[in-house]
Amino acid sequence: MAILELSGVTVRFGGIVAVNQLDMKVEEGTIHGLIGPNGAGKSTVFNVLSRYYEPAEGTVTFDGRNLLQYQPSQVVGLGIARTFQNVELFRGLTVWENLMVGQHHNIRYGMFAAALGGLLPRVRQAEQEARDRAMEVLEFLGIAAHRDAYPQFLPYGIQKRVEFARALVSRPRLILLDEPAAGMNPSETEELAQLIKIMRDKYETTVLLVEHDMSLVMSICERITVMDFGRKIADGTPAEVQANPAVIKAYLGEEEVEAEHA
Amino acid sequence: MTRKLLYVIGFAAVLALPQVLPEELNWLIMLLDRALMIAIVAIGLNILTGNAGQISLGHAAFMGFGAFVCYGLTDIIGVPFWFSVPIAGFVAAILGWGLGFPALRLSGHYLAIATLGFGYAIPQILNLFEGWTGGWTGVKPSVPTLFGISFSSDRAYFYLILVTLVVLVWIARNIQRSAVGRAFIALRDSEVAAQAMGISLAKYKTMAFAISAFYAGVAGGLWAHWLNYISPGNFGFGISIELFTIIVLGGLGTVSGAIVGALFLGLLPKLTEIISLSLQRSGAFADSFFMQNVFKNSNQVLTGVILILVVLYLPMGLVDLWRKARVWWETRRQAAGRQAVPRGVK
Ligand SMILES: Nc1ncnc2c1ncn2[C@@H]1O[C@H](COP(=O)(O)OP(=O)(O)OP(=O)(O)O)[C@@H](O)[C@H]1O
Ligand SMILES: [Mg+2]
Repeated sequence: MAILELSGVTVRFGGIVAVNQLDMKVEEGTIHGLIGPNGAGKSTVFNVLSRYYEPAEGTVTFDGRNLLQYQPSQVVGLGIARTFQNVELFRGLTVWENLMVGQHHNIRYGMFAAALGGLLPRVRQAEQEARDRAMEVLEFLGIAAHRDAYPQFLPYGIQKRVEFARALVSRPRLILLDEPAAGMNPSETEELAQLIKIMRDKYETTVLLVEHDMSLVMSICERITVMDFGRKIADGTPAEVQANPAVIKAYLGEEEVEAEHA
Repeated sequence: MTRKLLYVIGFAAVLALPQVLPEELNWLIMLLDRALMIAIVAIGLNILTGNAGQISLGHAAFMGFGAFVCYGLTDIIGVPFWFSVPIAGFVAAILGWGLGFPALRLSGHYLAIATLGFGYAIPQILNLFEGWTGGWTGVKPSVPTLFGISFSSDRAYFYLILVTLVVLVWIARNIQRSAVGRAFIALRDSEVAAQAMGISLAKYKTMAFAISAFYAGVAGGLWAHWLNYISPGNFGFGISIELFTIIVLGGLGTVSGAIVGALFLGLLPKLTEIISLSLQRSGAFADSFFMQNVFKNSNQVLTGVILILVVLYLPMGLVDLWRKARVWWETRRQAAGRQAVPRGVK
């Protein structure tokens, strides 16, 4: 069953059509790749799913519900968590505090309970549970050693991982990863590929992955959607997509342009 | 262990202060009372500005509003004082929450201007209710009596302020360590990411305004019955700017920064005045008209110079001195340790 379904989604910025009549289905439990050359509209799709951008046309259904009727801050409660292409960690909070914020929608006490703090057993318990879960996820992603560090002092690859952890800790049903391998070397990327697969099985999530590293995409994705200039140009298994002439042309075209510039 | 002991000794010293200070230092108690009430407002403002990143240049208005609510409850309606003070906080919080909504659409300079605007408007509006606030002539709130003790002297009032401060420090620390405090920092650092974590900007920004107005309202209530004279005109731009200076000077986002900043700025003018007077009396440059004038005005000059130095060299605020001192001490100790005890392989 499709957990996420976009149909006819169009996003315009003034004259630019960033996403053009996009139809896409993400099956529950899959690792689904969303690829395409720079400026194809991939991040814009993520921002539609986060409810930052209002599509001019089209519908988005998540888990049988009309996603477009929710506020940006309600999306994570439905079960969609995300990372950002340009890391958006909270600089004033340590790594584990960032993961505490990642669980914000699960921590259910209000302002007055917060004011009384540890005096209330239910606040103590909620905080303890959140801390334990944060540690579990940090350990799973192999970054527990950085728990007390402030994110801006960490290497870019580690920051990317912290963002991944912050999204995962919210117990999402669908996790959106925008270029998680950026800033990582080949062996770190290989490790990340394994982690994403293990995560999918262990936490029973669906993954929508935007990534320029083709070896990563081809090795772990079960389905791939290819975009170019806002349009979907191909859809299928990695083998099908790689053999698709339109895809080859889109990527070759990019290389030709780069070759001309060189 | 030693740290706890230090805290206990420090607190005992603070408690004993009004008892042991001689008559001639009455002015010091008066300044301390004032500084600690301002510190309460600054703690709240630091949650709003330091943690949640929402600037306010009109915070004295909430203090004034709290002062008049507390006076109205106690002296017009006849509610017991100890009950009026927290109520004044809550009523101010509702006003702060309401004013948080127009602030939602604004940020940075625009928010600064808007808050400046309501800081100006609220005293004007209070002024219209002459039966309650006395208009520009003001009113005279009563001296509070608790458990048969009259809090008429600055020394007695010191304890009232201290108890309130301790409770409100505890609450502020709880909030900062909670999901609410983390949400404030999150929305300050990245509004997009905060929303993706389920933090509603409208809910938490207005909440930050409400909490900070609560602190201002409580302090205003104490202020009214300490000064025993209030007029809407007293809660204008001057105090708002003083509050803002305090949190920047002391350290943005921390409770200790607000307190240190309030004490520093509260006592600094008196300190520089003493220096200024002794310079004038020293007879140095007695024949130089120019230098005599510099000495005469050195009070303001010194205050200004010290403020500039702190902002230049301690951008994280005065509380950062403490951290810097500890780092310096640690490295010195380690260096000394290496020289004194030649260690082999561990
Ligand atoms: N907020 C915005 N305002 C105006 N134009 C935008 C905005 N966001 C995206 N665009 C434009 O929409 C198009 C698609 O951008 P998008 O960021 O979705 O591409 P992408 O596929 O993620 O590319 P990349 O691989 O470089 O990250 C681009 O032409 C971009 O300039
Ligand atoms: Mg992108």
